[in-house]
Amino acid sequence: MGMTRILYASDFHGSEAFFRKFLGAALQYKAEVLIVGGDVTGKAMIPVIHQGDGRHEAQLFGRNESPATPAELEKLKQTITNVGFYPLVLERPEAEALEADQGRMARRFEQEMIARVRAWMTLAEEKLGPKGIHLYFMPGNDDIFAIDAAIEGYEHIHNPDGRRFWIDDDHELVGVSYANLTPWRCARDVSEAALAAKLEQAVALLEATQRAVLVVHVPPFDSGIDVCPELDDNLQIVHRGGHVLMKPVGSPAVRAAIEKARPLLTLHGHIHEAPGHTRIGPTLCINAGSEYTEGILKAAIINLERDRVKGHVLISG
Amino acid sequence: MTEMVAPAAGERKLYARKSSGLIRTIGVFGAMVFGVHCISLSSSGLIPYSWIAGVWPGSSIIGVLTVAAFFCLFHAYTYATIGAAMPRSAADYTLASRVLSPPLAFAASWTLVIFSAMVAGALIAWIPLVALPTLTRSMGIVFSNPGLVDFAAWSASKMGIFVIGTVCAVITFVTMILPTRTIVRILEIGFFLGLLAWVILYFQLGTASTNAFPAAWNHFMGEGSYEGRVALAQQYGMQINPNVAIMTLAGLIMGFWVFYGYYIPTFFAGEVKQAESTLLAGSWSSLIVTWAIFVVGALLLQRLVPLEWIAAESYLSQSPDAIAAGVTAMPYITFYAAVLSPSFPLVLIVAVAWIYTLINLAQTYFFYCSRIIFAWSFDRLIPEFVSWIHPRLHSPIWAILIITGIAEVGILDSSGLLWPGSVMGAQLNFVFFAVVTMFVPVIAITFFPFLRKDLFENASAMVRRKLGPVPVITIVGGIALAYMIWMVIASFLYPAVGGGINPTKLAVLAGLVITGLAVFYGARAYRMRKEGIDLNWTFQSVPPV
Repeated sequence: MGMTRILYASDFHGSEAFFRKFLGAALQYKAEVLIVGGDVTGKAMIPVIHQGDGRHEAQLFGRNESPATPAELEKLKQTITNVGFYPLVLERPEAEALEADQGRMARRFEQEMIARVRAWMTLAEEKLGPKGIHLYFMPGNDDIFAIDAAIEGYEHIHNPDGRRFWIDDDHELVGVSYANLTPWRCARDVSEAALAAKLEQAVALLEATQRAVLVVHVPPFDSGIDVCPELDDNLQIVHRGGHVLMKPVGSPAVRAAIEKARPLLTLHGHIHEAPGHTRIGPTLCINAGSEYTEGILKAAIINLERDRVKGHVLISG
Repeated sequence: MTEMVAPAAGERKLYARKSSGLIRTIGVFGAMVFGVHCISLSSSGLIPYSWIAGVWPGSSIIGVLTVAAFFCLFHAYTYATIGAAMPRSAADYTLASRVLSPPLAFAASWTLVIFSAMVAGALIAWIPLVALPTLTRSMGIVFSNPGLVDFAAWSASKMGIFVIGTVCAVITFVTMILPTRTIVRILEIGFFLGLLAWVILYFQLGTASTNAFPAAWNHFMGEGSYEGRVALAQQYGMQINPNVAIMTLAGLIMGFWVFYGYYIPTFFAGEVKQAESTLLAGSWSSLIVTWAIFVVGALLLQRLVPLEWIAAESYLSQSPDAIAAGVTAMPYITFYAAVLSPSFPLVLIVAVAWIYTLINLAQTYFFYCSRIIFAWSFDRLIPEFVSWIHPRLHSPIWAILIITGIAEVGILDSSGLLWPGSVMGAQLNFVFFAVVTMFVPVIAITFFPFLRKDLFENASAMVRRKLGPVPVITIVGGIALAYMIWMVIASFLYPAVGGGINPTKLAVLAGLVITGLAVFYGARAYRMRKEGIDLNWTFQSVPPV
C-alpha cells in the first residue's frame, strides 16, 4: 500500500532559522509533501542605527548590541532574522523620519515582510523543486493579505487558502487561513459566522472528504490543542496560586466543521503553547506548536495511507 | 495596511506592528507562591527544629538553614536555566533528550516520576505518621484529652498510616481531577493558610515572656521535665558540639531536605512566560521567603529556649534507645507554641493548616508528575490513553490515577503493613533518589554550550550569559554538580540523613532506570513497526538548508 509522508509546521512568524530547518527536515526525513499552516510573517522591525565610524547600535530582547565591524553587523542582522524580526540598518535621520511617519513605517514593514516571503519561496523552489517535493504554503490570521501574491508563480509552491489540491493520488488538501476574533484584531480575524462560511466553502471543494486533509490555521475549540494562558483586560496573564490559568480559545466553527465533514486529518497552528494531537470523531487533529523566537523547529511528521493516518510524531529540532 | 505600534518617546528598540503575541508574564509572585508550596511550609517547617537540631546537636539552626539555602541558590539557578533553555513541559527531560541521549533522559525522567509519586505517597503517609499524631497529641496533652492522645498512637500505627494515608490519597486524587481553576484555588487557599499558621506560631512564641517556657513545658510534660531534658539526651548519647565546620557540613546535607521543591516550576516551564527571568526570580524568592520564615521561627524559639535544649528534645525523638525506653519527645515548633499559648482555636487553625498544606504538597507532586507524563505523551513514548483529558473536568484522569496508584505503594511502604517498610525509603532516601535523577539534566545544561552550540547561540540572554569566555551556566552547573555529588556521598556517610542506602534500595533504583530504558526502546520499536515512525526523530537536531 502506498504511503505519503507529510511534514507540517506553522507559525514561523518570520523566523529564518525555523524556515530553513523546516526545509532541512523535509530532506532529512524524506517528506513528500510540505504544508505550512499560517502566520509566516514577523511582528517587528529592529532598527540598527549607524553611530558613525562603521559602528552600529541596536536592542534585541532588551540587550544592547553594538556591532563594530561589517562581519559583526552581518551576524547581528542574521540573528535578528533568525528570531523572526526584520533588521533595518538606518542612519539616525532616516530612523527619525520613519518614526515620524506611521504610514511610511507601515509601508516599509510590508516591503520587508513581502521580501522575506519571496526569498523563502525562491529558496524552497530551489531546494524542493529538483526533488519533486511540493510545498503548500498558507498564510494565517496574523499575515497581511499583501503577502499572498508573493506565494504565487512557483511550480512547486501553492497557497491552499480556499483552494483544493491533490497532494497524492488519494488525498485532497484545502486550507482556511482565517481565525476567529483575537484580542489583537489581526488581518484575517473574522467572526465565528464568517469563519463557518469560509470552512463550508472550503469543504465544498472536496471530492472525497473522508480522505481529505484540512489545514485550518485556528484549532478546534476545547480540543486540548487550543489552550493558552487566560488574559485580563490589559492582556496580562491571569494566574492564581502560582499557576497560569489556561483556557481554550479555538474556534467552535472549526470544531463543528470537523465534526460534520469528518476528514482524515486536520492541521492547525495559531496557539503556539498547545502542540499536540487530539481526535474528533475519526479525524486526527494536530497542532505542531511554535518556538520561533528560539529558532527551534517545531513540526509534525505524518505518514498517510489511503484511508488512514498510519502514524505521526511531533518533532523539535 | 499594517497597523504600527508607535515607539515611545526616546525609545528606539523595535518597531512593532499591532499583532498577537504581546509580551506577557506570570509575575514573580505567582512563581514564588508555587515554589513555596513545593518547599512546603508545613513538612519543611518542622524539620529545622525537630530533625536538624538533634542530628547535629549544638549546630546553629539558623547557620544550617543559611548554608543550605546558599547552596540551593546555585542549584536553583541551574534549573531555572534549564527551564529558560527549553521553556516547555518537562524542560529537564526535554533538554537532556536533545543534548545528551533520549533513552538516558527518558530513563531519568521515568525514575523521577515513579519515585516522585512514591514520595508523594510517603508525604501523604507523613500525615498519619507525624503531622496528625503531633497535632492530636499536642492537643490531647494541652487540653487534657486522653482520647486525642490515643488517636495519635493509632494514627502512627501500621494500620493507622495505611487507613488515614489511603483516605488522604483518595482526597488528593479527587481534588486533582477537578478543573484546573478549582485546583489552583485550593492551592492558593493553602498558601495563605500556611502563612496564617506561621503568623499564629510567631504570635504564640513572640508574645510569651522570655522565662515562660520552662513552666509551660513542665505544666504539660511533667514537673522537672524541662530541666532534665539535656541531661536525659546526654544519657542517651547526645554530644553537644557547636562547631562551625559541622554546622556547614549539616547545611550542605540538609539543603534538599529542607528546601526541596523550589525548582519544580521548571517542570512546567512552558506555562511560565519569560521563563528566563520568572523561573529564577520565582525559585530564588521562594527559597529566600521560606528561609526567612524558618529563621524567624528559630529566632523566636531561641528567645525562649537555649539551642542545646532544642537539640536535646530533637535528639530524644530520634534516639532508638530513648524511644524504646518510652521517652516521649515532642520536638515540634507547633507543640512548643501550643504549650505557651494553649488556645484551642489557635491550635486548631494550625492543625488544619498543617494537614491542608501537606495535602497541597502531595498535590504539587501529582501536578508536576502529570505534566511530565504529558511530555512523554507528546513524544509518543507512552500509550495515548494515559494523557486522555476528561471532556468535562478537563483533567488527565488516567495519568492522575496512575500517579495515585504509585503513591499508594509509597503509603504502604511507609506503613510497613505488608513488608518491613521503607524498602525504597521513599521519604528518607528522597534526597538520594532525587539527586541521582537530576544528574542527567544538570550535566546536560552544564555542557549545553559545548554540546549544542546551535541551540545555545539562539537561547535567551540569561542562558548565554558569560563570565569572560566561560558560560555562566557551565560554572554554576559545575558547582551544582559538585553539590549533588557531595549529597550522594553524604547519603552513604550519614545514614541518619540518607535513610540508609542499602543494596535493596540501590536495586530498586537500578530497576527503575532499566524499566525506563525498556519502555523507551519498546515504544520506539512499536512505533517503527506499526507506524513507520522513528521516535528518535523527535530528539534529532535538524540542520538548516
